[in-house]
Amino acid sequence: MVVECQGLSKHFGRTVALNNLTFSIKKNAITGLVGANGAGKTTLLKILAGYLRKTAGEVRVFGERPFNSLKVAANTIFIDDNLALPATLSIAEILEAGRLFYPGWDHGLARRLFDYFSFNPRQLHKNLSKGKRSTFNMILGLSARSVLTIFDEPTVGMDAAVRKDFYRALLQDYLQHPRTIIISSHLLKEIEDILEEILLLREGQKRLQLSASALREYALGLRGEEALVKRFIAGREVYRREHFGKNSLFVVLRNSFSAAERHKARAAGLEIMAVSAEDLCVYLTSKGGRGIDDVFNRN
Amino acid sequence: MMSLTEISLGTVVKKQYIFKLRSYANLYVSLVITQLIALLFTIGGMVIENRGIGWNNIFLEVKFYSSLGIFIFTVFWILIYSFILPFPSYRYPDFSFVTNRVSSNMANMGFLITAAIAGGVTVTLGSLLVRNIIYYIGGNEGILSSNFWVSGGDLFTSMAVGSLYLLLLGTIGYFLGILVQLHRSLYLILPAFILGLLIYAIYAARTNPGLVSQPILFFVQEEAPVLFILKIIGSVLLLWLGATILSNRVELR
Repeated sequence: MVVECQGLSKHFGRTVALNNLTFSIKKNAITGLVGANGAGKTTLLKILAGYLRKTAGEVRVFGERPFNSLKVAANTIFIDDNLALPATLSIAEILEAGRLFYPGWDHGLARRLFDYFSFNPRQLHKNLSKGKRSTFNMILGLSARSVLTIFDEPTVGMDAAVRKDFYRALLQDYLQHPRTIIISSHLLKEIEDILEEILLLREGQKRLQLSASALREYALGLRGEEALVKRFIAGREVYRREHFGKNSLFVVLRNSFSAAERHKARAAGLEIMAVSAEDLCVYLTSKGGRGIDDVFNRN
Repeated sequence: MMSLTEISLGTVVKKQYIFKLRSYANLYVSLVITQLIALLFTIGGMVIENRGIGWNNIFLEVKFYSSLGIFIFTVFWILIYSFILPFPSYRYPDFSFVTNRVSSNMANMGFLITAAIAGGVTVTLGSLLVRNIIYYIGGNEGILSSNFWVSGGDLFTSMAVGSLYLLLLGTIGYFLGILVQLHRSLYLILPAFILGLLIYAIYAARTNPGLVSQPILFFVQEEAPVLFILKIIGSVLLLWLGATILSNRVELR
């Protein structure tokens, strides 16, 4: 295991950002950290990178506490939107700094990506546009070839073409040099295809951790006449409930029906449908299974 | 498959130090500019003392030029730079690469030592430049010959003493810089505290002069070179240790 957390909590004053989080992340896999805004994704990643101190519980990266650990620092790179770099260095000089620090740094890759995205070597990092800055940070993150590579919302500001290139580059490089990669995003759909594992956070707590393929099978949707649906789902946990018209109900719930039950449901006139991983994540991470519709339907 | 790299503290500090020298090379540009401005003040009339004596048709004018101005400007330069060194825009980039808080503090110290030596050497050379400029402006009768030539040993002593003082003051600046990082309110409290201290010092200078002069004399009056060096290095180490301990639990961003 590369990352292990046991009852990890982090408070900022009276705000609880992480609440009793227990999970582990296995070696050489791409794990997606998914959750709504404010779910604690960035806080968790900053703790793993040694930026922030835990409030309670245990956190281990490569078997060590990450805060002030040189071993963790040398084998980890943390890339996010606010990556702090010296204002005086050109972006080509920043790549040189990367070469200086990271033992596994691949300068050839850095140069090739640099040329592919047509960067001007003499430009200053702070003068790059938002999308260009994200692209440059991505080059830094990939070229470092760190055993643990953390991307926090890496595609902020990138256009569609660059996003595609980014995920493609990440996957290519990962296949050639397998390592532990954690990507956080609130857009699961974008990263779904390259993920092996998904860790879902809600309000600082772990909601779910499972493989990407298992997530796609995890839930199903049922639609039909309200009374019928209600009878069918009695006693089961419902992730989402949406009303259509007067009498029709759509629910999303755990896929734990037997083949016989499915058959029975279809025979009764209920529609059974798959739920995309992205939609499911939205349902699983929303507060109390409520949707925006509930704001407008006050009765 | 990638293997974990074990890295020693020394290696990290060395890399951080190189990184800082590259990143903050503009520090030396500012040093040169600062000293040039000081030089202009010195030549252009910052005559420390101007005495004229005249009797029996002979008029004697004595002017004392001093390179003290260059030193004072350099002191401000190192105080300002060392104070802002722990600020986020200088500290966070360390952590974007490889460091922990101890190695970051050690590399900063190395950077400060380099800056102090650069300052001490240039201040000494600057004082030679003052003599030369005055010689070329005023001619040789303007300068007493007995003190015009400075021996190599004196030059070295001057550089070393200048560097040590700059290092001490730089470390004080650094310590204060770390201090204000601990809590936002200290940005307000610290200047008020220093101002209060100054006012108190002026008041105390009249009633209890020893209280003010003692800490300064502790360094200035030391005549044994070894003891002087030990006093400065000891104080620098204490301040650095304090700064490291204070900043060792500070979080980032």
